[in-house]
Amino acid sequence: MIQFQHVSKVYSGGKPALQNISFRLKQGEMTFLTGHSGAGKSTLMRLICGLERANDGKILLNGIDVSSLKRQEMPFLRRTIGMIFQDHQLLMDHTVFDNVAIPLIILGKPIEEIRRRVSASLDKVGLIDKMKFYPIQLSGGEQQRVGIARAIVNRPAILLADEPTGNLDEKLSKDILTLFEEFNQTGVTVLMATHNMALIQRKHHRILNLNHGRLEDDSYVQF
Amino acid sequence: MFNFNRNKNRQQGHSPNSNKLHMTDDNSFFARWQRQISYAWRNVLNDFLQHTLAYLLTIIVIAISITLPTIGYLLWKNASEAAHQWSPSPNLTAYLNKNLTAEQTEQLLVKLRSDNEIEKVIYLSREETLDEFKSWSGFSRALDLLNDNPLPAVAIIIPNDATKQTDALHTLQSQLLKITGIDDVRLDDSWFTRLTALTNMVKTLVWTVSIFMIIAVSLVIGNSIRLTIFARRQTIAVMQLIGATEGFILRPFLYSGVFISFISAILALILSEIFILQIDSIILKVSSVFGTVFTIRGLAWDESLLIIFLATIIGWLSALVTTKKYLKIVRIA
Repeated sequence: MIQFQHVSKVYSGGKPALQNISFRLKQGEMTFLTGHSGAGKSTLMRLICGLERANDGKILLNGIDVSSLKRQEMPFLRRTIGMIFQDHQLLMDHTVFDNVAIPLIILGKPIEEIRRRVSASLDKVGLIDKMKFYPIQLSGGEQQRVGIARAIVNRPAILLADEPTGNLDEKLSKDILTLFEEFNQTGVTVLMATHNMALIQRKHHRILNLNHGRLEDDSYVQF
Repeated sequence: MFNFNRNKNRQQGHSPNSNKLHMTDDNSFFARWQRQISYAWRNVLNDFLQHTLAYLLTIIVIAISITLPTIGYLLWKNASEAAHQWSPSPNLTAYLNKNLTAEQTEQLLVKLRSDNEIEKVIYLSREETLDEFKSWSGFSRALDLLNDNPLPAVAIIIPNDATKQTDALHTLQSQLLKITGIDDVRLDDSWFTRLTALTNMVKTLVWTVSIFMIIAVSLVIGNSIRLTIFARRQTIAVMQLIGATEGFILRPFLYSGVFISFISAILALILSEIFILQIDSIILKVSSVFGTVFTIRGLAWDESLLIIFLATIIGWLSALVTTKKYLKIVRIA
C-alpha cells in the first residue's frame, strides 16, 4: 500500500530531515510512527500526501510513485488519503456539517449524497447532534473528531494522522485511538504519528521509530 | 437532475461492499461540473450577502470608473455628429483681376463651372461686392470718399463632397491660383478645420481616459479579490490539503470578479443614462436659443452590450491574474 524506498529529504539550507528511509505498509495494516520532536514524523507524513517532495528515493502509493506526480495531479492523490492534523485544520467560519462536507463538495457530489454521507460520518465519531455547531463552540476533543469525520467521509483507503492526540488528555486520546482501530478493522490502512508512548502500550501494532531522521526501529512492541 | 442522482445513490447504498476502498464516481463529468459551478456561484452570492456594504462600495467605485469614459465617448459621438450636421461647407473664394472684361470674366466662369471638382460657382460682380461690403461693414461712408471701387469681383467656389477635405481643398486652391485672371484664392476652411481638430481632441481624450479607467478598474477588482483571498487564506489552505484542484479554488474568485464588474457595468450604464437625461434639457435650451433642434443621443443597444461585455472580461482577467499570483505564493507544496 505504502512503500518507502531509500527516501531522503533535506529542507533547503537545513539539516537532513529524513535519511535513507525504507519500509513497507501492507493494506489494512495499523502502524504507529514514533520519535522525539523533530525526528521527522511530520515530514514523513507530508511526503506521503505530496505536501513535500523527497530529494532522493521513491515513495510508492498503490504502486504509483508520488514524487513523479505533476503538481496538477496532486489533488487527486490527496483525495484518496484521509488526513488528520494535530491542529485539525477546520474552517472556523463554517458549521461542523460544512466542514465535513468539503471533500464531497470538491468531488461535486449531489446534495442528497453529501447529506447522507456527512451524517453517517458524524454519527461514527459521535457528533451527529452537533452538526449545526461551529468548531469554536466545541471542545478540543470534539474538534479533533470533526477533523476525523472529514477525513473518513470520502471513505479513503489510507488514513494519515499526524499527532491527532497531541492536545488531548489521556481519556480522549484513548477514545480517538479506539476510533482509529475501528476504522482499521474495516480494512483501512492507518498510519498514526505520536510521541505518546504510554498511549500505544499494550497494543499489538507495528511501530516505526524515527530518531534524528533515521528509521531506528521497526517492530511489534509489546510491553 | 436530482431525482436521477438520488436513484443512483440508492443503488450504491444497496451494495455497500461493492467497492469500499476504491470509490468510483458514478456521476457523469458534466453533472459534477455543473454542481461545482453552482457551488461556486452560491459561494459568491453568500459572500455578497455577508459583506454587502464592502461589495457595494467596490461596485460604486468601478461603476464610476466605467461611467467617466462612457460619458466621454457619448460627448465625442454627439460632438462629431453635430460637427457633420452643422459645419458650414468649406468653400474657396477667388478674387478676380480688376482688369478683366465682362467677356473674359464670362469665359473664366464657364471654365470654372466645367471643373468636375467644383459643385457650384457663385459670381459676385465688383458692384455687388461693394454693396455687400457696405451693408456688412460700417465703412459705407469711407468708401464713398473713394473715386474708384477698390473691391475686386469675386467667385465663390463650392467644391463637391469628395473634395471637401483639407488636403484636396489645398490642391484645388493651388490649381486655381495658376489660372490667369485669378489674383488670389482664399480657403475658407477655418471652421471646418477647427471642428475637426476639436472632435479629434475629444476622441484622443476619451481614449486616454478610457485606458486609465481600464487600469483603474482592473486594480480595484484585483485589490478587492486580493482582500477576499487574504480573508479566506485558511480556507484555501485547507481546500488544498483536502485535494481541491486549482480550478476549484480559483472558481469562486473568478466568478466574484465577473459578478462585481457585471453589476458595475450595468450601474455605469444607468449613471450615463441619467447624465444624458440631465444634459438633454440643457442642450435643448441652448439649441432653442440658436434656433435649431438638436437632441443628444444616448447609448445604443450594441454599445451598451459592448460596455457590459468589456467590463466583464476585464473583471474576469484581473481576477484570474490576481488569484493565480496569490495562489502561487500560498501554495503549500
